[in-house]
Parts: sequence; structure tokens; C-alpha cells
Amino acid sequence: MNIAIEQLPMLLLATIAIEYLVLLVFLKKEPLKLLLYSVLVNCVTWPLATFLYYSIFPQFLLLEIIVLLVEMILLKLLLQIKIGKALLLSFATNFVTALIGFVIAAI
Amino acid sequence: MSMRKIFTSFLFVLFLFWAVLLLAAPKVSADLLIPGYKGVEYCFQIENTNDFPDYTFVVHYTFAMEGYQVIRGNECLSFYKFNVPKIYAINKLLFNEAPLISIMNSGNHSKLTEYIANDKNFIPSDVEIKAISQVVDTDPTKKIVDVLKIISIENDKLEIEKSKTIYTYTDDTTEEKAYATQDVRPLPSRLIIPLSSYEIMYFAIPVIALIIIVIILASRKFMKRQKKGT
Repeated sequence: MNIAIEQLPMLLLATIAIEYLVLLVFLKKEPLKLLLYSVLVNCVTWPLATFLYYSIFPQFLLLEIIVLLVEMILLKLLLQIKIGKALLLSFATNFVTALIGFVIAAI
Repeated sequence: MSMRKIFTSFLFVLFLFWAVLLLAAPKVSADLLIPGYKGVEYCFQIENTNDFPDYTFVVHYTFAMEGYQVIRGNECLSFYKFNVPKIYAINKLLFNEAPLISIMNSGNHSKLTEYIANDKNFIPSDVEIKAISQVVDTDPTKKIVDVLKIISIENDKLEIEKSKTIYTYTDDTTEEKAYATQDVRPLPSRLIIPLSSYEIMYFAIPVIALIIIVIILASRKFMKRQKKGT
């Protein structure tokens, strides 16, 4: 893998923090529950996506779409919201994290 | 103790276990890289230096053991694994190797960086070449060659891309794999990667997270049913 092993937990925590804040902006309720859901959702998708990207399948966009769809389903189930809203949340969280990732990479 | 409390405690314990696993992940990995690995030969080559006959190409090795090498044709260049090679193009008419030889002979190799940085005739490339010195035991590869391609040379920029990797296997057959993205070396198709304990974390963490999600959803359903019953 090209990514340093020591960076992985930090990157995961950063992703969780960013996505949590985005969810909080949209939902503004039960912050602790939202944090738990954010941790769980990211812990399902992030390690798998990272492993696939660096080991087998280096297609960022395609992996991002798969992550978006999986997170949409998980958010729908956990937050008990409509699929459209789950898709919007999933898109917003992943868009923001990807954007921040690109900005950091560019710097 | 109510069912709700039992579920909450169980979830808490599971979450705690999973959090410990997550935090322990980097420590688990630290000692597992060397055993189970074997050495491989590595070099890189530029396939089209002949398309730019007006230029000389020089590779400058920094960090571990500073030095330089004039690239001749498409020869394959090996270097110490901790070195960082940087490729430069210099107009043939402006290239003078004597100062480089003099610096190397003086033994003060670190002056090379200063010399190259100050000589405006050295046109730098930002291609990143990373040596690979070992692969997992199960990998049938014995030699890895990264093939680079010069795209263009402008006044202050040498554009080079990694085009493919050539794997030579222990049975002397070879395989060429094209670079899909510049940052990631394509893997040989004959490679079967056994997962290290650290890499297992990439799967263990999602599985445990999924289990917790399923428990949350199931308990929610259970509570609903209980409420309906009462």
C-alpha cells in the first residue's frame, strides 16, 4: 500500500469527524446518536474502500459511487429517513470529505 | 433488568471491543512487514530518450546516498531503496559533466543538490519513482521494471509519465501492466496476496460495525414489537 500505516486511524477519524459535522448541519438533532451512526457507517465503508483503492482497484470515482450508495442505505436504515434524503446526506458527506481530501492533496 | 438495558449494555461492550480493535490496529501491524517477504530486483528505464536527441538526461539521487547518473538510452537504472531519484533534462550543448564529477570526487556529495538547483540548465521532472525491494513470499515476481515515458520538454518543465511495469517471474516469463494512475504501481496478475494481520483489520472493523448496525436495527424492531404487545 502507498499510504502510511500510521496514517490510517487518523484518516478514518478525520473522515468520521467531517461526515459527522455535515450530518449535524443537516439534521440538528440527537448529536450523540448521530455521532454513533457516523462512526458506524464510516467504519463499514472507509476501511474497505481504502483497502480496495490501494490494493486491487485504484478507481476513485467508481469506489466513491459504491461508498455513496452503501452509506445511503445505512443512513436510511439507521436514521429512519426517506431514501431521497438519505441519498442527499450521503452525497453531501462524501462530497465534502472528497473535496477536503483533494484540497489537502493539492497543498 | 429490562430488555432495553440488556441491549444497551451489550451494545456498549461490543462498541468498546471494536474501539479497542480500531486503536490497536497500527500497533499490530508494526512488526509484521519483514517476515514473509522476499527480496526482488528493481530498476526503472525511460523508453523514449531517443525521441529527444538534443537532450541529455540525468538522474539525481537524494536522501540516503546522494549521487547522480547520466541516463544512456533505455538502460535500466537501479538505486538504493531509500534514495529518492529526480530526473532532469539538459540541452546537450549546455551539459558539462565535469563539475558533477568533481563534486563526487570531492566526497561532499550533498553539494550536488546545491549545484543542480542553481544550474538553470537542469530542467526538472516531478515524476516520483519509488523502489520496491521486497515482495510477499507468495509473489512469483523476481524482477520489477518501471517504464517511464517522456511526454514533453519545455523551458522549465520536463514532463514524464509512468507508462507500465514489467514483471519478470521466477520461471523467467514476463508480464507488462500499464499504469492506471500515476500514484499506484499496477499489480502483477499472478500475485496472490495473503492478508497480513494488519490488513485483516480492514475487514474486521467493517464486519464488527455491520454487526453493531444489525443489532441496533434488530433491537429497534424488537422494542417496537414489545410496545405493540403491551
